Amino acid sequence: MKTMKIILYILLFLAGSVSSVFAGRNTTGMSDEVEYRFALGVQLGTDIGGAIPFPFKHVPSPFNPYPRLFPSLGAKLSFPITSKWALGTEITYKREAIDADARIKDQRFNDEKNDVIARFTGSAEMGMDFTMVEVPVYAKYTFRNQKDRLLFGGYFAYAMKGKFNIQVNEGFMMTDEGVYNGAIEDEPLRINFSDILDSWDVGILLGYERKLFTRVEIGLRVSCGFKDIFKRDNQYFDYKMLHMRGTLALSYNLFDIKPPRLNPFRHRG
Amino acid sequence: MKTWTCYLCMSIFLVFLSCTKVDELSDDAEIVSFRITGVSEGVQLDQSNITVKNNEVLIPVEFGRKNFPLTIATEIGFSKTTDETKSVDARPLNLREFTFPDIYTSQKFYLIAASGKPHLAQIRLVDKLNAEILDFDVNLPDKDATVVRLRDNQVRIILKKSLGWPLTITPKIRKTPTARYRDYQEGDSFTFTSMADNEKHITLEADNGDERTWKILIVPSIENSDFERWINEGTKQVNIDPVPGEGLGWATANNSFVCGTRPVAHGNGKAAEMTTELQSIGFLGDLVTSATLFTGKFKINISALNNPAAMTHFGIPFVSKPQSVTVEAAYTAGKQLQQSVKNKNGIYELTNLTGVDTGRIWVKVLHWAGEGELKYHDWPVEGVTVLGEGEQLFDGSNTALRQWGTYTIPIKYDPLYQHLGATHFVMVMTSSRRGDFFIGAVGSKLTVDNVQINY
Repeated sequence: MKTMKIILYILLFLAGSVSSVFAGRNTTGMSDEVEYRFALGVQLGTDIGGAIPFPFKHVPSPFNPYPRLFPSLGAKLSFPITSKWALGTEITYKREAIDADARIKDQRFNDEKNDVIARFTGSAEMGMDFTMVEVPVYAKYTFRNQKDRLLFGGYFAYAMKGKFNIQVNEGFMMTDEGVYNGAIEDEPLRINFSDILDSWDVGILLGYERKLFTRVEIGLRVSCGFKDIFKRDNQYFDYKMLHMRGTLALSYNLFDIKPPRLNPFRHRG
Repeated sequence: MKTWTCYLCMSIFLVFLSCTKVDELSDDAEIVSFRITGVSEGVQLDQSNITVKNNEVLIPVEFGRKNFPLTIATEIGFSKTTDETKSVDARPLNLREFTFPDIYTSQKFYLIAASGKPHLAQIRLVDKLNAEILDFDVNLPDKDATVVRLRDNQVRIILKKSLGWPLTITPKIRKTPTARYRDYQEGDSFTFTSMADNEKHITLEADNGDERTWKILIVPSIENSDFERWINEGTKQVNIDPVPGEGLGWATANNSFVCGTRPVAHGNGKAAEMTTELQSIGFLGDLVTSATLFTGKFKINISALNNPAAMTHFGIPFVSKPQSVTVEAAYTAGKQLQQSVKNKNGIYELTNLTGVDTGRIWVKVLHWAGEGELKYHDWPVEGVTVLGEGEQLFDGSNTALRQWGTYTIPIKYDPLYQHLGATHFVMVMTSSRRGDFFIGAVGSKLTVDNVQINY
């Protein structure tokens, strides 16, 4: 229900942005006319980030992330509204992966050996890996220099594959009630949380884009998910884990579709 | 702009450097100081000779064994690498006050290092050795029937064979010369009437007036471990005699549907033979049913016929920690390994499997911290700690096992639970090791005799 509310707020926000942009268009006159109807491009990038415990007080200490970089590939579409404002959307196939080591306290898990819910505390290595298709929708504001742009909007992501494994190398186990239940010493404790990962995510994004050449742009953006990476009925995490990532992307505009009145062939007929 | 970029990069680099790597976290956690700030009345402690070494605090007791329980108020200092402390059980840990029910029970807790590694810490009282039983001779005609162990204030008389009840002993005792008996005279006898009546007392008074009460405990072996006593012999309801009572001795999973454990002749007496059989029950189908002989009791439950483990209540009361178990055994595997598998109508049907059946004997020594009767089916149970375990498998492909042999099964104890005493002993013998899952070969036979518990 909360997620639905958030989605609704994003849509309202986007609708508001668009309507204000349209309103601006009506009053700005011919000088604000755009040069093309829409533009289609391809982009190549990479993501750095992963899922972070939220509220942040649940981030373990120490926590050392080691991001793994993978290329992302996508297509983007821009719809100019005025010379300053535009709407954009993309579809990107990406892989976001991060390894980390952390000192974790009191974490619930399913003790498969004994088929009970238990807890552990200790030094752990973890690995997260998500392969997903991301569809961001955003508004763009172009600065006067016609080169720099700010982006803000939201995204939807569908995770095709997700992995979340933890290996506890040192520490101890407890019962679900927190009663000491033995050391983890000879053999690491391996826990697989992949089965409880949910397959979709929504969130917001904020970014900056700069035109390097006529058709080439570089973009930098940060995005933050609103939705827990785990399924709602998971019984192991007392807190949420949200996707947070930075994206660096280089895009190449393949072509612009001109509006009819700017079409050089329109008087010929 | 460039300057700001430099500052930003430097900050990120410094933050990265300042992060402690998890594998650099210390594994050490220790008690660095210990001070007593208060002692309950009637007990004198030698506070000037308290020692702290390897997370063990030793407190010499000068006087006051009879005035226990003892409560002490403490101030304990821990090393910087100690992240937290943790109770050894469900009771909350109070590091400022400890209560000792007697002089022999130490206080234990865990120190957790920065890395998460746990270290057991304990506070022990050191008794003044002025009222000791130095030697205890049971003085029975059969010198090999018992073994005596002295531990804390206990004289543990371990019966290596069944001597029957009542059991009367007239021990020869050697004590601290300066101590004297309070309620006992040399030459007095003790009579233990049954397994339940297994504790007597001797109180010694030291020269400083302090008292020490010794417990004389009979630690029984499992009765009928030579499998000579059976009930309903010659009928379909034959079963092992559960002496000294149901849930206190040997049991089988024999029931009105299947009777896999029977007496057979061996040597000059009998042995117990377990045979894997096919159990055909109309509404369930064909079940491969392994036979079992175990310590504990069997409770038939018609609604749990497809879950045999739910009907076997493993474990009998037992207060000692044996080192191993010796058993005479022979094993022959049935011809075809099979499994009963449910079909789409919920009826079990036989499926042939590759491989050869295996017999199994396993042993567990348990500590049961719960209340009431233990219900243990070899599944995790809250309050049950497995202190030690051992196992012997009989691979059916090894035809040499068809001959009688003597097997000693060592019991490996978990050092983490050294501080816990045994409360129950589980020994389970089965003709098909995966009988719980209805896997076995019809005709597999495990025959056993003369179980002996070794200390």
